Amino acid sequence: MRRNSIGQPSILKKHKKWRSKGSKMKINKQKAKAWMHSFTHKPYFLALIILIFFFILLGFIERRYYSLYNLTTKIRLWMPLLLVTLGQTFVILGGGLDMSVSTLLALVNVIVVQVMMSLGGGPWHQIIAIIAGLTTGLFAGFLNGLLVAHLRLPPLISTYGTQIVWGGLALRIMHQSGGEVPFTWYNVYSATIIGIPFSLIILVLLMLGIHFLKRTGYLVKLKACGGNIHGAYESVLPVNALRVKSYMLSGLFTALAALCIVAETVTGNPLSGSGYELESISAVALGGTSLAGGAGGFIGSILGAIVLKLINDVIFFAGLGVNYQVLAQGLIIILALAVGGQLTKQSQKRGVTMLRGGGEQ
Amino acid sequence: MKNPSIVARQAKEIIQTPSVIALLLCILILFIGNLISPGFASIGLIINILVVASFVGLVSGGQFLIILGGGNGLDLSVGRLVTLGAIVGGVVSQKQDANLIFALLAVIVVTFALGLVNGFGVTFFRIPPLVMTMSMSIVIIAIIRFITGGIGVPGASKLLQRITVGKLFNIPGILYFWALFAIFIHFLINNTTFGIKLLATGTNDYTASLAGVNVPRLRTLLYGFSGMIAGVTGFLYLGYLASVYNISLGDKFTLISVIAVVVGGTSLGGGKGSYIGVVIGAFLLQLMESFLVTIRIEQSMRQMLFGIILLVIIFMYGRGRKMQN
Amino acid sequence: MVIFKATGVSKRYGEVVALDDMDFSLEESEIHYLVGTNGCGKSTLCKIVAGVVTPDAGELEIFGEAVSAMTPNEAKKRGIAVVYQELSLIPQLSIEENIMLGIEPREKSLGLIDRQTNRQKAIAALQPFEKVIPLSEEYLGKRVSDIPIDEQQIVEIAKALARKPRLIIFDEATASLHKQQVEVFFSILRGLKEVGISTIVISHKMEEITEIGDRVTVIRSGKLVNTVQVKDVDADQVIQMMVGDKELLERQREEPNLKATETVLEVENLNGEKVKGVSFSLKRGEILGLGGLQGQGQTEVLLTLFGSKPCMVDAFKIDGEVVDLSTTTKAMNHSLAYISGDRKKAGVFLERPIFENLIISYLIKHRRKIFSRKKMRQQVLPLLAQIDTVFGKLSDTANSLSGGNQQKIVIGRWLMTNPAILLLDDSTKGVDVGATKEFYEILHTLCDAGMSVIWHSSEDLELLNNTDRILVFDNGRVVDELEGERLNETELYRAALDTKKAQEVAE
Repeated sequence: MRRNSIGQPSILKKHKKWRSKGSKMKINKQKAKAWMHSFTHKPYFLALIILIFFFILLGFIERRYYSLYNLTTKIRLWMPLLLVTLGQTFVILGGGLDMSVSTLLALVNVIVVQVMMSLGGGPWHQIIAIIAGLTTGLFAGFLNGLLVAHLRLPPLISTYGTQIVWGGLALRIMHQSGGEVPFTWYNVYSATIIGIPFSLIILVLLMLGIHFLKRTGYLVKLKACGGNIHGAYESVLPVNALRVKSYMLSGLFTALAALCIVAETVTGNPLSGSGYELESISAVALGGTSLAGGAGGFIGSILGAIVLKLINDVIFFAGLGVNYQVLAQGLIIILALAVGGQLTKQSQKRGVTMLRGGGEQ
Repeated sequence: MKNPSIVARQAKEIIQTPSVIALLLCILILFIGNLISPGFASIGLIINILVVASFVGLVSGGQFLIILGGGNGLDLSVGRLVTLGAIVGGVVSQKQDANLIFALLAVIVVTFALGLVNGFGVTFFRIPPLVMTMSMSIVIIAIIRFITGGIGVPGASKLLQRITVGKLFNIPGILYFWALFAIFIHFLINNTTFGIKLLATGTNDYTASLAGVNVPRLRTLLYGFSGMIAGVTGFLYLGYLASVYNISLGDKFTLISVIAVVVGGTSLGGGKGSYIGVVIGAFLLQLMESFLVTIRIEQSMRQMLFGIILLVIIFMYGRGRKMQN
Repeated sequence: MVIFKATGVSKRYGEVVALDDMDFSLEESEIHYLVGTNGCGKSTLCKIVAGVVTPDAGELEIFGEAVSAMTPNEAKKRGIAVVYQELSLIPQLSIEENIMLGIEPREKSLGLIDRQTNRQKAIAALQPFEKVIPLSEEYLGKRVSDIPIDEQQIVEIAKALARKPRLIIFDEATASLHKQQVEVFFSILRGLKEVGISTIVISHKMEEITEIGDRVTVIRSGKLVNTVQVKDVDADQVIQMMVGDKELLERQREEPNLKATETVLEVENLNGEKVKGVSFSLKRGEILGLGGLQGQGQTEVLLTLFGSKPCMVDAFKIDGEVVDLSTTTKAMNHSLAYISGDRKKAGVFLERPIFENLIISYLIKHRRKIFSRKKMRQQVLPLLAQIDTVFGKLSDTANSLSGGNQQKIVIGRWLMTNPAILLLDDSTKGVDVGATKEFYEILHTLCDAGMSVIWHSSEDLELLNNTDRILVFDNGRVVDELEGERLNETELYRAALDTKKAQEVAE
């Protein structure tokens, strides 16, 4: 029985069913077509294709890759890069760059371990250590944000500068790898709840958090800062605050990644995180987000990060040496971006714009 | 007689220029360093610093051209191209003076070609320079590993060592190369069509194309040149080091070449800058490092201070620019 | 009731006086035009109204309240909105997102964006334009970078409307709009007037003022010339007030050059993104106009000829021989030159010295690798004198020049290359009347000496007064060709708006 909008049974519609069925099918077909069109044109579409391709390839090379144990382990191992990449996405959407994520990761890593150890190592001390680590991430991000947004320093160089400072600081706090971390960290981190890895649950929670952020309108305003900063000022947006927030989010996500590393390695390492800054930026670019800012998304970033990691595994299981892993990684990033660039060129309509602005360097 | 207030204003403007700030900082550091550790500002030491700085300065020259060309141009593969230059140079010359010319040619061809690949990726495939050159550097290290995995890399031939480190009128050879390079770059920018095209492209690439500049070709060539300069620098660096001790010997050049260019006053957006600034920048960075070593600060603290000083310098540039506007 | 009043306002930038003891007042429900030559101070006055600039001297009164210093945010809070020519839109965001940027309505519970209301308000803001743009969900979701520039301008206006202003300043907002859209814009102005919102409009287009303005204020060199009721003056008088003692625009081109019989350029079946099957030929010494409504493919024809945009063509022939015009360098080597009206993007290198701005194309064309600064200087100085450019030193950067002089630099650059075919793309846009007249004189002299011109302009009068022949464009096709007696406004509009004929041509 069909009902109308206020719940009353609608007999009329029953009769019209036959006549309108044809047109309803047409509308559904149109809607499906439109959805297909928008889906294939989503910025992360290429990354998804590459991911599926490699994933299937891996199945051929190494059957056991698909085992539950392996996949859950992989997700756990990939989580730090995924988190850093998500954080980097915020910064890039806002028109900036965060080159300091690598050494920040190391810094949070050693701070968490040091605080935990110097306090005594008990459960409360561990919680304090975690809070200290997260606070460090937020604070470091805040500093980056100050430099870039308020002092208007170019993001590339100033975050390179902070990268150097965090690196030195990390070394000061811990001269070399070591420290004691309770094994419970590893146990919790590698645990699975009804088959789902703990780290994946964290990721899902974070994605929900990001979705919530989207609903508050933060992302749109952040993209405005990255897309046309003059326009953002014109629209009376608090540009500085928005950008500082993006760097703080990057710091926070990097700190979370550091916690994962602490749990995974149960040590403090002042040299951890090496290479993460370039990897996270590559992952973001692979995922279809424009490095100039303003367009793109988090799904793409996750896909991009996974693709990077899959490349390593493909090469590894194919029996080729570390060299080939490295070579392949570089070549595939180049190829993927080249192809991606060509595709966007074709599907883009030439809209002439007289707009100023665009991402800063 | 010029109006004194105008003179004062002009003087103030000049002092706000980044390269002048950098130069003043150099003098300041030399002064303080000499107070703390007498002999710091001696000619001998300065020449030593200049020698180390020269390699950075040469690589930064290529980086300078790319950044000048605009479009967020950046070459993060220069470090590993330096390593590659040293390795190819060593392998082809096999420690024989007679083979040096061939070795040099090999280095030029290989690194120029790799640079062109960067250029193609950036211009024709629209891959952001940051990612393109960074990915290429990954490819290059793989190539390097392939080469060194199979073959041993011989050290530098005697002649190569003499050219770089040997002294003419008490000045090491490499400094002469650097000076020649600086003169060449200056000429290139100021008196050639290429220079005008480069600066125009860096200012506004669309306008440049409408003025008749073939922007894609220009930018591709720039990456080729940057690669070649890095490679040849690596070749000379081999002469300085006498042997390839480690395949990551060039890595430090990447980041520092960008910093030297920025410290020298070139805008990362392109279109503005001078190589003299880059020279001073390269010298300043080495000087800072030396100073921090001299005042006996341990490595981690040195690193922190280096980063902080860098941020302060960039901050001062920002303020200087704002005042000029 | 006076809603805005400025008394004795002055503003200087270093040595330059932008406004000198300016008086201005705006009534409620008024459409007030602000005119004057480039650099006369009208932009500065608007910036003061918008709170972007603080005057050095003078008093301001907004809605009856005396105001000393105002920030842009305060101005916005008071209900003053500005629609600039350089858009404040974010290209990567959708139309809906752009319109509602920063003013998104929130749900009461969690403070999240109320998507339904958001969409409704965006649609409401675009409602006045429903005749010229599709008002669908699909359209609202489109990225701003994917719609043409005239629609972007409309979105910019909608954005201002969505903020429910009490006063709107339009700074050359109709520059990119074509005639139909301008009509809609007028109806919006009238609509705003009816609900008590006043508008200040900066425009160079005289027809607009007489059609819709209530009052017009003329500024010259920072000083107020007069504020008059539009019904009391005509366009000529307004121009007179703007330029002072210079002569008025009139028919420049007396008669076509009858000696021009050689064909210098042939275009056969040109096809591009917006151009369909265009063919035409150009004689030596001829000035050919590309007319019709804005955005019908005229600019693209010029850009494809100059090698700046890709296209498919059966042949380009110069002096009878097939040529390759696929890059700007090649076009230049075939003695083509392109001057755009968009100086900032397409003409002048603002941070480079005037010297470099001038010699760049010459050096490229003559394949010079090295040059002597002294010798080039000697070549350049007489040229600058010839085109009457006002500048300080050759080493000064181009942004030290006024708009009109910057345009002259671009012209000078191309004159140095001795072009055979000059492509003009609305090159007098935003240039004041005096400089424009000088430009016309230079052009005609050169054409008499054998240079040919293909000219696209957004001002029909400019084309009618200066060309020998006009090709009328509609939807990427040439629908009519006007010559001789048919070279008048009536014929031009008739051809431009004749959709039946356009369809015939298409078949």
